[in-house]
Amino acid sequence: MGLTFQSTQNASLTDMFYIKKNNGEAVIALAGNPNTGKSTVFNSLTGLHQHTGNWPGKTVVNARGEFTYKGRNNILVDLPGTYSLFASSVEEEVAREFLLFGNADAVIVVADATCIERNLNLVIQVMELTKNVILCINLIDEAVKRNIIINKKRLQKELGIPVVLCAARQGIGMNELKEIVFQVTNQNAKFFPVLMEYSKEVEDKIQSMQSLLEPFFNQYKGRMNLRWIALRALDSEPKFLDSILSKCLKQNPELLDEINKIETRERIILRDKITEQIYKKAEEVRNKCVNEDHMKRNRERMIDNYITSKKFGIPIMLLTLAAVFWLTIVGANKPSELIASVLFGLEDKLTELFMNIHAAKWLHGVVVLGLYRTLAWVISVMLPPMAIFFPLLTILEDLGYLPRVAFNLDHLFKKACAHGKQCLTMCMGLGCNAAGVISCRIIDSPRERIIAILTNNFVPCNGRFPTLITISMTFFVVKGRMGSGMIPVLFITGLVVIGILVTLLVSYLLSKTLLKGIPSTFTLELPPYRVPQIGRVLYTSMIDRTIFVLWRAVIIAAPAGAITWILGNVYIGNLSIISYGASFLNPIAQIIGLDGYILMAFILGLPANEIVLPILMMAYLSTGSMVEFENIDSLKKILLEHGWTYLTALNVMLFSLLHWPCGTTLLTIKKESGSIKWTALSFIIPTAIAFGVCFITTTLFKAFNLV
Amino acid sequence: MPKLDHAAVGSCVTVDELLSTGMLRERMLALGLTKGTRIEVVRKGPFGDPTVYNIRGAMIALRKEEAFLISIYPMEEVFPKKESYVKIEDIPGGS
Repeated sequence: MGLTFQSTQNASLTDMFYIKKNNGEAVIALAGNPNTGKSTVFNSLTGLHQHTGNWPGKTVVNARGEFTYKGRNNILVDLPGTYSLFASSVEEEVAREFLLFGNADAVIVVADATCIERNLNLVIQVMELTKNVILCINLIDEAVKRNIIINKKRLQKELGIPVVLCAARQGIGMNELKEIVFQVTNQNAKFFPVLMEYSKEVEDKIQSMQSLLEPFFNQYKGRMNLRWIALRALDSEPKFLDSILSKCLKQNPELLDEINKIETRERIILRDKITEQIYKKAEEVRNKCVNEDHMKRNRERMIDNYITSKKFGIPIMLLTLAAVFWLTIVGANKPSELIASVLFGLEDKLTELFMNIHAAKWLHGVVVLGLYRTLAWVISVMLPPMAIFFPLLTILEDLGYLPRVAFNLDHLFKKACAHGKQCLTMCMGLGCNAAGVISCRIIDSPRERIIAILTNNFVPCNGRFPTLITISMTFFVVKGRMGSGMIPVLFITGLVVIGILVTLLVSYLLSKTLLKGIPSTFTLELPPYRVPQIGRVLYTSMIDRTIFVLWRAVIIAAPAGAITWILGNVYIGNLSIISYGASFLNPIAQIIGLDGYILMAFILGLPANEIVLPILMMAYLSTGSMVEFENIDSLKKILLEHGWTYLTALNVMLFSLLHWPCGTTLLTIKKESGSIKWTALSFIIPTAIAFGVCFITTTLFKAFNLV
Repeated sequence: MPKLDHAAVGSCVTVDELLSTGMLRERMLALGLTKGTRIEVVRKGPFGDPTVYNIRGAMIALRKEEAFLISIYPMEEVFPKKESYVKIEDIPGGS
């Protein structure tokens, strides 16, 4: 074995988990149970705004950030939230392997002050795996509210590691945490972790396994935790250990043979014992250090009596949904008008400027009528609803309401052979389907995860809301009537319900055909209700959304606008390219109650759903009837002139709800599923359904002579 | 031996043994469902399933299928007449 062999080994061990650091820098890992406010601690330490929410499994992508304290830079790595380090879900694997192979100088374990016992399980496991563990007990403010008293000194003594009590959302205890990190990584503070000690029977087994392993790990002396590997060799499936060992030992048949001799049954029994003993210790430590008042828990139960009750659970959910849409629609009205008047006013100024410099007519067309106008439309129509909707969704998340929705609806998802957590991914999809698809990582089982990915598109994202709102306002609201704001709200809520039903139906069909298999298991934690920090939520998510919308408008909508203008104004013979396309598509479109232009707009809108309506307007306007689009009334006039009926309006909304995902979502699905087949299906299934549903409505309308 | 899915809402029970395997067993252990753990049956969902259990201070929802894989003994048999462990709210008809 030469030097090269060794160096390749080291490379394979370190490639993924080795964080590059400069001299004097420290790498700090952040571990913890799901939903302990880990991301909030991360944000509070680094000032970086990672999106946090009150439901388990939020951090699906590792985040990295930095903070400087006392002149020294620290690199903070946010590990996925895990209940344990033993199991084989993706999140736990990442967390475990980072702690095992990574070069973290210290590990902060974030624990929930209101659920110490369960959290201590992970703390003890992490302490077993790595040195320099800091226990950060978060949500201390919630604990105070519930009369939970934590004896920090005692806890420090029992565990032998530094303990910090904090409330990261308020920034309480963060400086102390930084100071402790500084001390621990500078090695001038002495801590003596009290390591887990098992019963004699278990300890004996560990001893003999450790001596078996020792010769194989000579070159990793001091870097690898042999006791931990011995434990896993004893109590885990050989496959599990193999995946760990292959990262440092290449092939080692003799050792594996030796380890494989242990029977599965024996392993399971030992794992049970080990977990039992760790939890026993957690119980003991909690009993010594935490004083709890059980009566205080009742507040939560009272709320849940309504939120998750038989009678009120589902109605409350629908009302909440409708209320969110109502606030979004009503609240977005005025700002939209204001932004539109400013931006379209600017358009006139731009036109004047182009006239003055005698620019070519086509240049004015591409830049002002195409690019700028689409940009202005997208910003004025998209920005206000997004800036309202997202903070509202975030507040519901922070409250802890979303897991309750998942809980309430799980039975339906079970019937559809899908996972209850799919609800959470659908909620994310309401904001953006690409984000929804990524969030499907919280579903452990591959089968249900693919179902959730393929159906996410059936919840209308924010890019489609404006289309839905505008059309329902144009066609179904009688102007001046009282409560006219309610009609679009009812339409949107109704459409979302249709989307949910289609989701359930498609999930069911998929799991009976392409994705046959046993429904996987379901464990869902219902976190305590927490009062959201409304001011901060509003501020950060408004800024987030504004940047997001502006960015999308600039990189996708504006170029698409320019291209559409060109297509609408380049003539071949008597017809523009758009008209050719539209008349080509028209026969199919008519069958499903649309027209060629609408279908064309949906196709050209593939890069981003928010540009469908602007494209359609531009296409209609370029056909000669030179009506300037100014407000809802003129919009209606344009649409009516092009033969729109109630059926057209309804079908455009249905088509928008059900049709293929946007380009970004498709790319995300490709990335997440890693398969062309699923990506293609995620395009074909919605498309087929959109065509099918619109065909049915059209046929029905015609049969009953409603058109 | 009765299973957890049969425990009445409001009752407290003790874990005897896990019958699950693989990933689910790991997850149950991680949540602290070890032998002798006390579980309180908190409530059922709007459709009667899943059910929320208080496991070591955390509210965990399990479907019938999962709860069926946890064998239990009713609390009273093990720790009789200890005040804080008896039924907190007795909802009639909850099965």
